Amino acid sequence: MMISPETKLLLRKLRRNRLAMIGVVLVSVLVLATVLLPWVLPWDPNKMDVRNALQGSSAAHLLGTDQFGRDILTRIVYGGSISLRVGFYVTFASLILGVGLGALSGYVGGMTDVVIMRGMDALMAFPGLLLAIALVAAFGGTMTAIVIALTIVGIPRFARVVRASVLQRKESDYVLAARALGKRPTVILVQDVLPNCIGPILIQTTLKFPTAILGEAGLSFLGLGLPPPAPSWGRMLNEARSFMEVAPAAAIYSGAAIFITVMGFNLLGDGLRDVLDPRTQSARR
Amino acid sequence: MNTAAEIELPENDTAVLTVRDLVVRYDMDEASIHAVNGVTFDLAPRETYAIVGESGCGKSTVALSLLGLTPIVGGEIVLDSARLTEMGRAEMARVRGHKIAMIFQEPMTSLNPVLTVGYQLIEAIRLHTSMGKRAAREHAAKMLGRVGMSDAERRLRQYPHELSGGMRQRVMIAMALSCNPAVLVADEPTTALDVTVQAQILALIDQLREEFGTAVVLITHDIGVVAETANRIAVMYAGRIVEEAPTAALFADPRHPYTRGLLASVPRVDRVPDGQPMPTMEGSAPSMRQLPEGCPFRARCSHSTEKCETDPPVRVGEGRMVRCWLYE
Repeated sequence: MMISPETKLLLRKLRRNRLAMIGVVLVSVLVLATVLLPWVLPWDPNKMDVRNALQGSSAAHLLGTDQFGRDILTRIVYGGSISLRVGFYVTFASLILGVGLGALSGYVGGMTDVVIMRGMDALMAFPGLLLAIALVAAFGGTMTAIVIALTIVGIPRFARVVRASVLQRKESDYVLAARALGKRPTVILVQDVLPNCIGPILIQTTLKFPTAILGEAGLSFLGLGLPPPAPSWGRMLNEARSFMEVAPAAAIYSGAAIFITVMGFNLLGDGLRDVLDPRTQSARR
Repeated sequence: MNTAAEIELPENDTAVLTVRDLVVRYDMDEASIHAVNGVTFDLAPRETYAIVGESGCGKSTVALSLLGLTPIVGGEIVLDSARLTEMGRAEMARVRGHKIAMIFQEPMTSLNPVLTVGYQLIEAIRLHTSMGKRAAREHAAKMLGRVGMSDAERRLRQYPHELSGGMRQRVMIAMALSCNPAVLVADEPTTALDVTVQAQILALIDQLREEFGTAVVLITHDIGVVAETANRIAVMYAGRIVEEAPTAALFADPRHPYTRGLLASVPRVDRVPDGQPMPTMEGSAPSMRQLPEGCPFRARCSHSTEKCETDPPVRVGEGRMVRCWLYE
């Protein structure tokens, strides 16, 4: 589809939002680093070299080495790719399933709505990480298991946001006009209702991304993520804890990686919300 | 509630649309809203039939009912000898926008903001015809021309927010007429527009009614709007038609006390009273949740007697109808 003038206007507004632009830069740097640096860095993230363990920064090891002598920068870069993949899969899966369930719930209404929304309420009654821990413990520590666990935790919020939005659009004049034209309900849902819910969905998507990354880091910190020696940020942070007084580099850098990534996505998400939601805009002016 | 099978309008074989004893009720959580309580009328081909009344009298509900978009609980609607009130959902969807189409009050919000005008227009055409994309696009451009929009090709690529209210209403009209319906229902089509644009849109609807041979049901609260375009006028009050007459006759000789009150409260340039307040009707319309027994207008009527506590009779003659005890 073409870029509509409305979209152009939103992009311009986004560009003027300084915090959002910081988010864009952080996220871009992160993505570029995880994609490009593996080609440049000479080290294998999992190759141990115990003689060079726990070193500080040097020309060879820019951020030093961990307790097994592995290059910290290399591990952070490879860990970034794990984090981003988990973030992407989880966000995508919860987006699809959440939008589907939320749209069904809001558009069909009645018993369908009651059943779906009570199911979502039940999922939301558990603290997110606790539920994920239980699920990963059940499925085992593979990428698929982590993604499934975090997705199940992520669906309810999407479903709620989409349902609320669909309920609102369903009563709009253009939906009535579409019905008066003789459009079928499914066509109206796809053409007239959902495209107009894109704002809240987009915001929820950008906010889900850092939550998913944080979730994966949390799981691996607790030892439930990908098994060693996979360079996951959460696990690196946990392993570095024991050596924090002697060699704080590993802990600082993996912590910083998590922090910067999550902050980047959050700033971007907040910026998008400011741009897409007219109410927050008027409050700022 | 008496749903009045008493109305004996002259049976009209040529009527394109026949509505008999239409009853519509919205069931809410605690109460039911009796929006339409026995509406009967015929629509002749190429005719403009206006339904006027104040907010909440049920006129918009009548409009939506004609397209089967309300919970109809009684009566029947016959369009071109097809009984709409007995149709299933899928069958009704094929009639909507095809045999009977509608335009709405708010052109600003009646178009989907994320799709181009062309996409929406082509979609409307392809819903009810077997036209291919290209043919539908040509037809869409032609329709825009017929509703008086120049530069149709560019308009097709524009989004609704790039058009003014009057332009959007033209697009709505083009969409409604694109499948050449037998009946066009216009629900307050000019209320949201500037006065100058109002006249243009009304003239356009009238011109297209002629060209397409469509009959028009014009719903409005503005009796001035109907004076020029309508052949016949029905005055609605509390979910019923209280008076129906040819336009000229209604203005010359309003019979129902409500119609008289309505006409008296229209401000007119040629009789500005010096320093006198504009005439208004006392009181307000009864709640549609709980309508009183008998004539619903009696609390505001200066002619009311104890007779009015029972349902008023319907008097038909001279091509007009009035529902009032005064003419018994």
